[in-house]
Amino acid sequence: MTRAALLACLLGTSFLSACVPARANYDAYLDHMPRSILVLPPVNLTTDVKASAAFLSTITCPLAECGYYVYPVAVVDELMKDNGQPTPGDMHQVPLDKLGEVFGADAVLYIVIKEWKTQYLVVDTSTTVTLEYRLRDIRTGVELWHQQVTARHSSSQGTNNLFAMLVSAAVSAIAKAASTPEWGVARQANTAMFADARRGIPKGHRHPDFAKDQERLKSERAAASPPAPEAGSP
Amino acid sequence: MRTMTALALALALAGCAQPLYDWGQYEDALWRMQTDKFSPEQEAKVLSGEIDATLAKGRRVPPGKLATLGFFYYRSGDREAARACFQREKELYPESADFVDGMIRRMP
Repeated sequence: MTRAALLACLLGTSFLSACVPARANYDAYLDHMPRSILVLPPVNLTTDVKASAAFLSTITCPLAECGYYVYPVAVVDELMKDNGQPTPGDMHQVPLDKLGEVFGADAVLYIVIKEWKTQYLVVDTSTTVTLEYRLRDIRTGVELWHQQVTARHSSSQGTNNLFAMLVSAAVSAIAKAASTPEWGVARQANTAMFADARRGIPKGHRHPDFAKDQERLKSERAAASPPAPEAGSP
Repeated sequence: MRTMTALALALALAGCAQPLYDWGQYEDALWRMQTDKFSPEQEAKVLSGEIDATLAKGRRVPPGKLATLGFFYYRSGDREAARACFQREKELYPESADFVDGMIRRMP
């Protein structure tokens, strides 16, 4: 088993609370394979008023490392605020053709933060982040990808915990000192979700495995729906 | 040693042997933008130094970093430097052309 596969298994059981989710359907994705993704600031359904702004600094690296051009999230945020969209809720209402005109993106990623909390108990600190992602083709409005993920981290898992090590490795020293526990967990949720072999996002055109990944998904699609038998065959 | 192992595992998790891009403090700067300590001049200095170092090493500057640097210059009042950064973002990433051209047009 490769190291990546081993990790995927470990994370699948101990970190992502999804219970054997079905494999995502990539038909629409393959038909509208995006090259550039516009990430809008996430709509925040939690009581932590800082969640949306904090989340914005956790999404670019995991998504761009999949091989897509990711628009500069902070500049996008400021530009939309300057143009009469003060909140993420307003931004999510902007028609796709308008977004296409301003940004020229291929697809738009809409994110909703459903949980963003840390519980401080006597012997344990537990952080939970739940995110819903919806990727839409900017020209047709077709939904390309839609997933939800819950990531948890508990301090009682100890410092030898693989997940804690992953988070600390992924987060640079400065950010770690300044940020909140939710920040690290959100970042890890993004990374694990996008990289998930069954539910993640396909590799983009700037990734070295782009062609291989396209081939794999197309052959899986062909296998899932075999062509109708030829007319006249016995 | 343990840190190195963890780093290797983190990269394996991201699905690649080595990151595609030299991230530096791009996302740290985005985090600091949300705090009281944010200074566009200071952040511009950090990002600009990192981008030079990345290019000197022959590594890739991540998408959006040059445009964000341009935005920090704009906020610092340096329109010329801002414009130059947006242009460089477009040269590195032609996908950004519509957006970058619009940003340059909008800059007073």
